[in-house]
Amino acid sequence: MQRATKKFVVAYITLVAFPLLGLLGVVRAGRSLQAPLSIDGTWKLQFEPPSRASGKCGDQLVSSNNLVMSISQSGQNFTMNLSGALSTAVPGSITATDVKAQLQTGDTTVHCGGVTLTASLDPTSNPRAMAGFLSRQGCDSCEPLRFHAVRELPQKAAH
Amino acid sequence: MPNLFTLVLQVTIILASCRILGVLFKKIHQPRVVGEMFAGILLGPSLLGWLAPHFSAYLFPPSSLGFLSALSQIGVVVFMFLVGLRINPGELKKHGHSAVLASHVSITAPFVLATFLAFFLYPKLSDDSVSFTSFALFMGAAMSVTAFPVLARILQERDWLHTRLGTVAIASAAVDDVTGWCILAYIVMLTRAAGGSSPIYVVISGIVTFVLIMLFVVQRLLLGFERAYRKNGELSENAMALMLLIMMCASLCTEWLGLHLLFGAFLMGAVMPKERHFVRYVLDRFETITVTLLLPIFFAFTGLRTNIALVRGPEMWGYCALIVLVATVGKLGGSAVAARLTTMPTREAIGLGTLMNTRGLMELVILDIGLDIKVISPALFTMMVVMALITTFMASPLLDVVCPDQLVWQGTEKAQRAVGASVPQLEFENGSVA
Repeated sequence: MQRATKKFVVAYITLVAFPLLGLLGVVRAGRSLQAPLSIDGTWKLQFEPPSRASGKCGDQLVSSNNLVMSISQSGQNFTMNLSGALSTAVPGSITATDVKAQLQTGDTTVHCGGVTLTASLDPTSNPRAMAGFLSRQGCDSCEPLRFHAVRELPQKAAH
Repeated sequence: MPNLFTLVLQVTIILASCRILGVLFKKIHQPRVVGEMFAGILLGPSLLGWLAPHFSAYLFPPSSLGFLSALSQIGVVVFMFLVGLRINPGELKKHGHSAVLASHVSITAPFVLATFLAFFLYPKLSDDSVSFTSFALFMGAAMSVTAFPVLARILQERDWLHTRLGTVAIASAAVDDVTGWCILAYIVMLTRAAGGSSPIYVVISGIVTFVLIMLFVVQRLLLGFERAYRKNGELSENAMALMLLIMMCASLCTEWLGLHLLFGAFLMGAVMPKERHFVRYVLDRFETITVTLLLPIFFAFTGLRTNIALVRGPEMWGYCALIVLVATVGKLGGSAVAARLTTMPTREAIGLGTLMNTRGLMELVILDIGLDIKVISPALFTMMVVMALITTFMASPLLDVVCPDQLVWQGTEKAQRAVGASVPQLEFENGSVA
């Protein structure tokens, strides 16, 4: 074998073949990694019980019939659009099964300020579901509204 | 029905913005395509949507985006056909060890580094609907791609197409693109098969059959176009229409088989006859409308999906910087080290790495597919677009510093004297690439 060819073969094994073996190792090791639960997609919210709404501010939220929540997820963070009274895309975060977001409402009166969404995901349900509360900030008389949400169209998985 | 006024207004503003930015970027010695990519970003939520949200909502209402998307996809289908057409598998054989090693290392180095990076980013920027394998392989494919057309444009503008650096770069980039698209095809196939009704072995059998038909049946039939061109010095409108028709059928086949439209178009281009004048003739016929009308729409559509606001806080910008660093070290560093090992002088080797690090439009095409099949999240998509812009933008100034013209030509003459022959001529003379 010529010297140049020998050098080429050694360089090829070192720079191409070995790294490819490393790649296989990384892919294998990565299978045990846990990514945040997927919440991307459109969710339908139902208040529990449906007729109950506490105080003026709660009434305004519930009067937005068929609340639909659109979530665009990027790992632990997401942006959320809530149809009806709340329509601005807002950031939120997900930690394990806990979902949190701060929403700004269209009504900006002192009593009916922003809304905090806190929910817990059920990772085993199919389609995916979450349950939690929508609570008004700056409104002492408003009780948090309990809701249950189900993801409408499960996102196509990339397995 | 589309609102025609809105659609035409959108296209007018997109074309004007791309043209203006393209000209401005030319003035700072950047390929026009870099300016057009920037124009797309500026028209999206990252600038226009941020500065003038009401005007942005008026100009790009969500209901109109479907039509814009369809137009942009047709543009990219034709563009991928042209990319495949430019690729000549015979080129690599002429350049020996340098091109083989440089091209393979310029794929494996960024690919492996990207999978290591994926190990870190997956828990932070992905979710459990995407498997780590798909995520890691996609990151690898996205980071190892080279913008073949932009690279050819840079070489042409510098008159380096016939230098040793130019020929090795073109041959390596061609191998990179073919390999990158094969890997991407595999990922798309896995992803779609998981959500589809056909078992994966059916999908694979279909794709293999399609590729064999393209290689052993369609390729022979396509020689008829070259014969007609040789005979008449041109192709009739019917012949051009037939070529388009076959390209569209190939695209539909790959889409139907569970891949993506673009793979069929790319393969059709790759199996076209490679006679130099014929290739130039077909490129001339298709390129003008694709480059001046359809690709700017693609840039704008990509820009509309790129939202810099999603990269929030120092932590996210840190990830973005890491992506740029890994992409650059893997591609530029890997190619340069490989070229240096095959006796290319250090500065020329860095020049080769710089050229290979140009991702440009090809990266955007791959990222768009990744976002469509949801293998990457919107924030990661934005970070990768930023990486594509930075790595493409840095090519020209870096080449000015490390590879002055004189040095490149001296290297070429030295190499010619050493082998007693001229550097092989390439097929890209006078090419007006995007």
